[in-house]
Amino acid sequence: MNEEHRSAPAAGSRSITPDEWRQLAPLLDAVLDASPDRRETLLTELSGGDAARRAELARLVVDCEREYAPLEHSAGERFTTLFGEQASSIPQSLADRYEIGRELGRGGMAVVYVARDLRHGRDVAVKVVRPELAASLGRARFLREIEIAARLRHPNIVPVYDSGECEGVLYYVMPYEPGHSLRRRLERDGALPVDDVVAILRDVCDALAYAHHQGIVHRDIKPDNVLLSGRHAMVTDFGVARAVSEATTDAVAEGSAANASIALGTPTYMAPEQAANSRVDQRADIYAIGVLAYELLAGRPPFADGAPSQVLRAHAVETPPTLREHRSEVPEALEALVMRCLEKNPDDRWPSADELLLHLDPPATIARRQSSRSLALIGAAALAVVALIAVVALKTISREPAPPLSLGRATQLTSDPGLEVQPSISPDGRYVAFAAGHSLRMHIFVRPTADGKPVRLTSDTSDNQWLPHWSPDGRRILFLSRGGVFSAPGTGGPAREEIASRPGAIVVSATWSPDGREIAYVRGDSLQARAVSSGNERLIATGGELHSCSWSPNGERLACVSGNYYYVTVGAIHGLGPMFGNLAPSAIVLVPAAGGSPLAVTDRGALHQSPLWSPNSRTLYYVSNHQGPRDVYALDVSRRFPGRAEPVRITTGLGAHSLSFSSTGMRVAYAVYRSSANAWTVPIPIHPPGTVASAVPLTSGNQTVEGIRVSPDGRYLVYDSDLSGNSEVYRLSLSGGESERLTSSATDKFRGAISPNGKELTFHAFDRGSRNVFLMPIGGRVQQITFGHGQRSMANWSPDGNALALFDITTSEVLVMRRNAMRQWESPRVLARGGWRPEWSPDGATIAFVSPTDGRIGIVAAAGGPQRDLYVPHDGDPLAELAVFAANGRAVYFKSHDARGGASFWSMPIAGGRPRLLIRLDDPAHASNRFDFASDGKRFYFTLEDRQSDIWLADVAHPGG
Amino acid sequence: MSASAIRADLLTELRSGSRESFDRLVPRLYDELRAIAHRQMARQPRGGTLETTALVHEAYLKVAGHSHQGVRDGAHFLALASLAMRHVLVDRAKARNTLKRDDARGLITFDDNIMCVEDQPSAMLDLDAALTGLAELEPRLARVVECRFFGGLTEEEIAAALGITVRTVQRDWAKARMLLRRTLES
Repeated sequence: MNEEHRSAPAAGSRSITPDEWRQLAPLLDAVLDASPDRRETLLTELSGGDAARRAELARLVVDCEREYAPLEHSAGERFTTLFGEQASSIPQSLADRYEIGRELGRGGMAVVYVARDLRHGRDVAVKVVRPELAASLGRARFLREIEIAARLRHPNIVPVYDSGECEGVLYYVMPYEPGHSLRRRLERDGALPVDDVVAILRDVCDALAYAHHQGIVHRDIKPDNVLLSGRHAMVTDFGVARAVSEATTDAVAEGSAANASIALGTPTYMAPEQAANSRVDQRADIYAIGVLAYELLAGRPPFADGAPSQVLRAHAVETPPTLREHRSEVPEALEALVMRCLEKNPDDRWPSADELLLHLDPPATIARRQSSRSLALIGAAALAVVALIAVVALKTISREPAPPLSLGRATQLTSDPGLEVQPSISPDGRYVAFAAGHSLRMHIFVRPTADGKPVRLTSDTSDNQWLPHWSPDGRRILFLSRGGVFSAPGTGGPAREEIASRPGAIVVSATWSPDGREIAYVRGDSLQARAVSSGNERLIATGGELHSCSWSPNGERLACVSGNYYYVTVGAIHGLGPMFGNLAPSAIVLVPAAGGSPLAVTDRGALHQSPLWSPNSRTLYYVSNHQGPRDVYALDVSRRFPGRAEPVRITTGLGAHSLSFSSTGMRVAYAVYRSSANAWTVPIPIHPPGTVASAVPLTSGNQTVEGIRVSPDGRYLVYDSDLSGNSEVYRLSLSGGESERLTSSATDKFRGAISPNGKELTFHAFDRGSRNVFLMPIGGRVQQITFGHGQRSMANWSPDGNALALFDITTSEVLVMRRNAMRQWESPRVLARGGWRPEWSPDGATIAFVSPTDGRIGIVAAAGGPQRDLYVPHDGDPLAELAVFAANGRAVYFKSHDARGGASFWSMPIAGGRPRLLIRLDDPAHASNRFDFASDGKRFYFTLEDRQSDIWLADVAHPGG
Repeated sequence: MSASAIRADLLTELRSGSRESFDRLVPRLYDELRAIAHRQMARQPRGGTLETTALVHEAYLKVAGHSHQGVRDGAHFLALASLAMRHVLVDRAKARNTLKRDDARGLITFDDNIMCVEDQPSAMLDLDAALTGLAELEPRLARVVECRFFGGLTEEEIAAALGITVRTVQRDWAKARMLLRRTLES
């Protein structure tokens, strides 16, 4: 018997022959049948004392008794999709919204269809997660991850339009780009020209740098996920690999999925640490960029031969052949850059996509064209500019964050009551133009910087005017008015229309080119340039919610604000001018003036506004509140890819709002804005109309109160205030007493609403560039309850306390979300469109909302159904900004502002008819600028504001000279 | 085909697992199984999975009718249905595999190279090849896998169908699992 055992084969890892098996099988049977305590002895006996053989036999026995995941479920579960027809995987309710066309393809993750988005009338790619994969995912987690990724807004990232679960099918929707992927280009052309590779890598790095700043790692960068659209490369399927990975990890932890080892990425592009570890950081993407770059340059990836496990092993241990072995013309620096991406140890790679971007030189052709142009312009610049260049250069060399300039002696230029904002210094530094007015009735004024009185620029109109901008030759002033762009002689005189208004698409930003030949302006989602003489237009960039643009003095680039479009548009739509107090986050981006995609140079975590170029175009100044108060920051943008440069704060607690330089850079003008708003109340008059004279204050002090609402039990006024430094929710007992702060943390919270039982509070807060709704048991822990990537805000409670009405600022959708029997909040559902600021009727059956554009009031059944107009204003009628139900439910009260900024309260019967004026808030010293108000049936609660903004002028001092 | 036509030694003829002998002997079983699978699919909630056991038993009832049979005959029939199930899946996987490469591949975001979930058609074809290899080592191991994995049969049913003890079924499954893992993971 010993002899026979000794001859038992040592199969190792190769396949077992029938002969070997005939000998091996009885041994396995013997061990498998043995009782556990007998096994050790038996294994030793059966392997004849040969330790290696014993070990191998033991290992085979272990493998016999160990579950093998692919076989542990039956074929029906494991291979379900093989039974299904392709069309059957689209649920009807999804097909109702998307007319599904042909299948574009299928990969390991999802089946992709081209489809028509019926709601928005556009072509999209609908990606349906494969059911067998969906079955093993934690669905909520998957959708949440996709939603986080969907918040990414970047010109080089393919956005996610929609995502969700429909009858058990997980899907996400992206634009259908008729371009093709980098994979296709590689298959067609093989290795790409070096310039093309660099351009593509820059786009990909730019996208990744942005996403990494948002804390999102792609995890699956490869040619298939880079789409070529026009001249640009766009990264797609952001967050999908991570979503699968995270969702699987969750599912495994919950025990709802058996297979813990799925969701990694693509072996050919996978960093060594990614194969071993489900938690990877941005450096795994850097590695994948290295593989991508290598493949684009060499025509083949560094490691691709063999089974996935072999490829993974090669990533971990093998050194790839140098690029120049494949292709001798690859520049040495580029090769070194790619090889550093491919370092095995993450610590040895480029630490960030920003850093990588900095070292990716633009293609040679672009570099040549730009250098000749900037030389010509520098030749024409003033001597003072040279001094600034020297300072900037010094900073660049020393790499110390020394401020490139500091502000010297400052003088207050205006001190009139009311607002003076948006200064623009004339090129010769002798005049300042600004917008000024009372109660939001703004006009352009000009005054000498030295001394003298402000003079109206144009006297021929009573229309609102804002955002003045001197022409480079100092002759004309550009400004916005009536939805379009006008200019007038700087010395005063009639205005001329430069760009006509267009219904529904107002111009929100306009600036001269440095040569004065073009006007760059933003209308809708397009940044365009219009030649002043010919009227010819050209497109510079689209998307990204651009506004507040400033053209670099060398003519090469525009700096704009991206995001928070609301901030500049809403006031403009209502003829109010920009909303100065708004804190919503935004980023500064640079756009090539010749056209191209915006490159973000700041994060989006805070307010960034008023970009302004140094006269030499090498430093960008802007205002940000990311360290608290509004201060001026300087950012070195002299390198072409400045994402990595650190901004330097050059003022302390300045509170500046908008900036302007004289052309020599020796003087800066800025507006300092302060405001306070406090809660007031006035009885609803028995014999209307009443006046503000009978109003009394409820709060006082240097704070901005907004978002006021009466608690459902009528006992409290709930509001948010910045009294503590950031915006928190407070309640004030209406029967007297002190205000009580309900929330406390570093993030701003807005528009608190207390539940009918008085125990819970909802509010919204900024959440990585979006607004989302949070819920907090009073005195308890905050919990996020919406996870959208839009701007969901102003949630308020249904009378039964089981639902919230809210709306999305960007999509103008009125939403309702309900709490199920398990007390879990379900995803918000769209109840009505084209509506803002929903309010419940007292019986909870109806919801009223207002139109963001034309002041209509709409109503819809809370349970769903057709929406209808309750009130449609005609010429001269008041525009409703917020409509709340009267206590008896038979009327809505609404608030309106007239063209002069005066506010009024009206009553509109639910049964129809005409609105009736209740109260006019007509004290010019105390304007009620905000739309919000509340009513308990007897009184109105609202805010009155004290706003002050003045123009200051400061000399610019240079350190050391 | 009636139940009585199924002889106890039918499986012996089919033991090669060859498509030819199967198609000659039990084509209706294959057709029924496919049709039932389709109907089950249509009733499925989205993202749900198929109930293999119910599928095979339904096919069995459909083809064999309700006439009285011995337990052993019934078990044989279920083993046959399991084999039919394997063929159905292999055929669908082959069909899918040829469809897979579409012209708009540019928009496919996760290619076949991905590790996260094997592509079902190729996974099925790999398993089929591994089972054929297993049958060369020891045919009974492959039959046990067919009955359990493709047919969803209980250990008792498998024991009855193959004329072995339940304990042997368990050992065979363990050995087959070990050998398939070796093949599929190499």
